[in-house]
Amino acid sequence: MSVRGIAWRASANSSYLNGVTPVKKKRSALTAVLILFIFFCALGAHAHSIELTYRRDGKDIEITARYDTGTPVGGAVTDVFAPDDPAVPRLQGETDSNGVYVFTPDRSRPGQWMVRVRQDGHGGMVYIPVGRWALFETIPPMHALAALATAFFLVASLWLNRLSSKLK
Amino acid sequence: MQLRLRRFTITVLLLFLLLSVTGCTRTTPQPAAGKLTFTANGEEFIREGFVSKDGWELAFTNVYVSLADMTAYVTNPAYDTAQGWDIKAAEKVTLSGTITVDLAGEDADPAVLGTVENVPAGHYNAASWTLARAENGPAAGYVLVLRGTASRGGEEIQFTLRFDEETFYQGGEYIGDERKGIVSAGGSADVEATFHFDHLFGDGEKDPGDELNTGALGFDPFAAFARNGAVELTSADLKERDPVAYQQLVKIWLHLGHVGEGHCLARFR
Repeated sequence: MSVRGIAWRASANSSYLNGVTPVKKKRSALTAVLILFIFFCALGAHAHSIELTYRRDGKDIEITARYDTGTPVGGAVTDVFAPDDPAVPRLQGETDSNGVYVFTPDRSRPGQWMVRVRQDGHGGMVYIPVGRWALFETIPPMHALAALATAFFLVASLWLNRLSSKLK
Repeated sequence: MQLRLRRFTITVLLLFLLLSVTGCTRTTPQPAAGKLTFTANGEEFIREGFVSKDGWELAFTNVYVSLADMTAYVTNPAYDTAQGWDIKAAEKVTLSGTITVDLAGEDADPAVLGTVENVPAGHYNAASWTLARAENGPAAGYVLVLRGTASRGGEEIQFTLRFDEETFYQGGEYIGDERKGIVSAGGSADVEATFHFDHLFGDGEKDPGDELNTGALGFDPFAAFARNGAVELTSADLKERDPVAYQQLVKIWLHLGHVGEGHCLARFR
């Protein structure tokens, strides 16, 4: 929050000084120093809470780990647990410099998979529902419901047609 | 045609009757039972000592912490603190009462608060507890008492710090080297309340600009009240004599409780 505050002030200062040449140079230099300071602060930032998000990409699942400041958690130990063996990691690896780790779950083990990312005495985890078929996970629930309803009405109308022709 | 329809209706009614009868007489299978042990941990920081962000070498003789009504939950889908305070638990096991343990004691890796027998099998993947004032014993009237020695550059201070900020912590699954809280039939497991004291004193091994250190108090604010190589201070004293340091302590307090390496939600009681 404080970093954002400084950034806003820096940009406000630079726009306010447009057209005042001697002061502008001085203020521009100050702004540049401030931006560099913010940049290095962000590099050195080491928050203590790790937050995980995930995204499905076909059969793969992509995990992104960030500190609560938004800094990616690079090079962090990552363990993936299948639902049928919660005590032993099924996969192990490390996040890349962007805090990303990609894995392909074994779909013969459906259920809640768990991914745990740890670094420097702090960690985070995320639970991911994994089904037998990756396709159904990527379809939004409302779309799936609409498709099911359409199929039901099609079958029902066909059946009613057949029934009415029999009765005649 | 009418006969067919009648037979069809009777069959459907019979099926409904059969289903409802089996539904009524079906007994819910009782889940198998195991044991659940509740623990508290101050980690190596407390057991082995450490150097604060301001260069004080801290060694602890006693760290008494009082926990009330520690509870473990079986949640599915698993509880995540990002969801907020609402826990939807399939099972809930509470260790009743206020229990004080010494996190610097010999058997404090971790310190056992108590065990509850015959708990339903399951994965206890969330926990909550209250840091509550001890009713009696060495920490009576306080939630946390730290006793030890701080030394820096030939100076040595014997300290006793007493805190009375009652706080409720709630966290998700234990994050650490292993997964905890998995109770199988006839088996046992444990759930842990973990306290990160580097948030309070900072960590001399980390960069001074590290967020953990910039947010920590260090030991200097306590050392400032030392007389003749000793300091005895309560959080009420700190509030009165150094309100700025006390305000920082209040912020830190909400980040003291963890479940392993996982952060907890916290609120003052």
